[in-house]
Amino acid sequence: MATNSVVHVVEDDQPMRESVVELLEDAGYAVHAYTRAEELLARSTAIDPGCVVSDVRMPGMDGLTLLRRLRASGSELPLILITAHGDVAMAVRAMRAGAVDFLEKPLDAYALLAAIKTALRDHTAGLGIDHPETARRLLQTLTAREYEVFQHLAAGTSNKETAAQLGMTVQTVESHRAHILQKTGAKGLRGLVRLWLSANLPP
Amino acid sequence: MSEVTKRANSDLSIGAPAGREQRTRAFVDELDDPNMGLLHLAPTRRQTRAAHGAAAALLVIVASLAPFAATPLPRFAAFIPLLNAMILVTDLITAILLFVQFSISRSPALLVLASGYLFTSLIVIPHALTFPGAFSPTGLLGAGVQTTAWIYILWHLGFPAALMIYVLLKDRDYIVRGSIQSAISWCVAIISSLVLGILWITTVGDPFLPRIFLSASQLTPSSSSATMFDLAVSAIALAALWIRRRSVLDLWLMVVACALVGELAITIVRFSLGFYVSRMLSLTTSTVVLIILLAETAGLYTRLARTNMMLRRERDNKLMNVEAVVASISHEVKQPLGTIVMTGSSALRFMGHTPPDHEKARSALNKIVSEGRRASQVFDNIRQLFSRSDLERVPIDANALILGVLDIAHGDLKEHRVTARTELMAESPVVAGHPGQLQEVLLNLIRNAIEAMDGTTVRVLTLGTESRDQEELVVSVIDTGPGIDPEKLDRIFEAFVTTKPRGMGLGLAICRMIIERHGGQLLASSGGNGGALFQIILPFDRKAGFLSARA
Repeated sequence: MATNSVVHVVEDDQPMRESVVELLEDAGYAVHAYTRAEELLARSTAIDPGCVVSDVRMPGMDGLTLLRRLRASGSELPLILITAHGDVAMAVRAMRAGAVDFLEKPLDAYALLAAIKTALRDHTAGLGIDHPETARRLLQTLTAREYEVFQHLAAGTSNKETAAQLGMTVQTVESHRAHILQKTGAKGLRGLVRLWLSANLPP
Repeated sequence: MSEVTKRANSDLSIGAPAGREQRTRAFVDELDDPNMGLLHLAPTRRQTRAAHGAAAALLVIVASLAPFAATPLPRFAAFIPLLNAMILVTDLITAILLFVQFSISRSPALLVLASGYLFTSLIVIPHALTFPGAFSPTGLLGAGVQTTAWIYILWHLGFPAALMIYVLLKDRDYIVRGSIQSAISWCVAIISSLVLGILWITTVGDPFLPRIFLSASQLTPSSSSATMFDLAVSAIALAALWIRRRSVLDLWLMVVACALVGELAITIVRFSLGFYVSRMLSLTTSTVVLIILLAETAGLYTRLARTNMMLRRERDNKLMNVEAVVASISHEVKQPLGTIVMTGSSALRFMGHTPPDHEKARSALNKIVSEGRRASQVFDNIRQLFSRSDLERVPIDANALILGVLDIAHGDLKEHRVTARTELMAESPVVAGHPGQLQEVLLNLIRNAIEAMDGTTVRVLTLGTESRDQEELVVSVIDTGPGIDPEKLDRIFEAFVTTKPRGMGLGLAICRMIIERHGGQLLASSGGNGGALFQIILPFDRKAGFLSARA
């Protein structure tokens, strides 16, 4: 499992940071830890290749701004954002800003390791998204109503808001959502956002 | 009531959330009080002056016209029907508004007064109909020569009688129990039968009543004794009102009684100057109270609308506070819980190695235990902070509090190479409060400042106290960090701003809640030097004697 890739961890909470560092070192990664996003950016010219794991909510610069700054400075370093559970809008913004993945809190060791592994493997593929043609073909299998629901969900609208905006019950939205996931084979919201970005649909 | 009003007024200039709350409370108390309003509200000096002016003007008019009262003027047949129609409308509206006031206060005095106005509004109908020359040469309804005059005399006896009963009842604590609707219905029934009875007596009984008119324009001597009797009753009512005057309504009823006395003093043979003037005065008696009631109703409506708005805003604020506090607590607890999940799953992974890495697993489990304690500590701290002792307020020297907090934060400041400065006022500013809570707020602001200055080269923390208008103490916490993003300034108290590496960060939401519970304000802005400026504004503790207050 040992690789020479560096994982940059940005986390303001000390106990959490220590735990993540210990886990990643145990998994064979070289780890650089930072308490603030600014510290990582300060050495942006000399960031070792690998990937970044960053919390979204932090004192000072937040994770999303970090991601945008990195992209603005031309860095293609894959970045995994950790969001609060249920903050769908933030997750969608992160994906659209070019995050390779987002993970919801509370975060466990297996999910983190799997995400890092995928990020390091796929980072050459940019956002790690599917082929646009494939995505469009998958979306064509949806009914008009399902497609409407899909657009809302992929844009970060919650089930409840989607229901209100489309004039249906939350249960109906949930059943549509289940059908969409089944038809497209997407894995949860992450899959939907990825599919949406791949198909390059207008928002 | 005046105490409440005064407090409400003095708060207007502060505009603090706590001030707003107090103000709203004052208005709500006012609205809750059934005795509020016309019957119990003391007149202001301006109202008293206006009423005295009106009464004086009436007297001057009557006195200056009295010598010429008998001067005959052209006969204007439509005058009485026109005037009585106006009196009918205004008095009916007045009666209705007074019945409404009664239904709020249940005061029998108001019921009587309303009935008095209802009586006038009804009796002007037969008066106009029977008036000779108005609708027919001798008057309708089978009127005799005396009919109209007797209706007039009984009209001007009934109304001052109602005024007198009002005065007798008004200061009693007695209220009408039972259904308001049936009380009002009874009054309407009684007054209607009274008016019909008067009509019957004055028409059918016309030949048997003492002579007032010899012909339509010639009076008998007994006419003046009848008006003199009415005048005496009105004068007694005026005197009674004067002696027992208390409320705004009393004040204007006195003006009404003055007009009534004037009217009766000047009334004389029909279509003379005195006749016209006296009838105009009777219109005055009917409009004065109507205007006062309308003004009162409009004022009440304004106050109600304003109070409603304030209550809504206050409720929104409270909801926002509760949301923010829940968000900050859950954020505080989620941090250690997140670490527990991560560390626990790591421990499982370490145990799954071949051979199992006991050393790493043990250290992970230790961390889980300490993080569990940390989560529990969050709740302990909050409970401690908002325990019953929260209600105890003691005088606190703000300068001493600041120096004490700086002492506690000394290690933190040194570690982050922050220079702390103080700009304290020379006198000891004393505020009333909960020392533990205020200390926690200051510590929190200092930790925020330290954190904010982590990325900067110049790190100066300035804590200051100053007096504002000798009323409030302003404690300022200024840092040389990057300042607050103007876009985030509005939301800074809503969201949880940061978690602290050590100890428990309360969050600005809770800080603000604490300060507001102390009757103060917590403000955030970007300071002049680019850093952030937090201001705690607290009222001085007058009881403890703020030392510089009179210096």
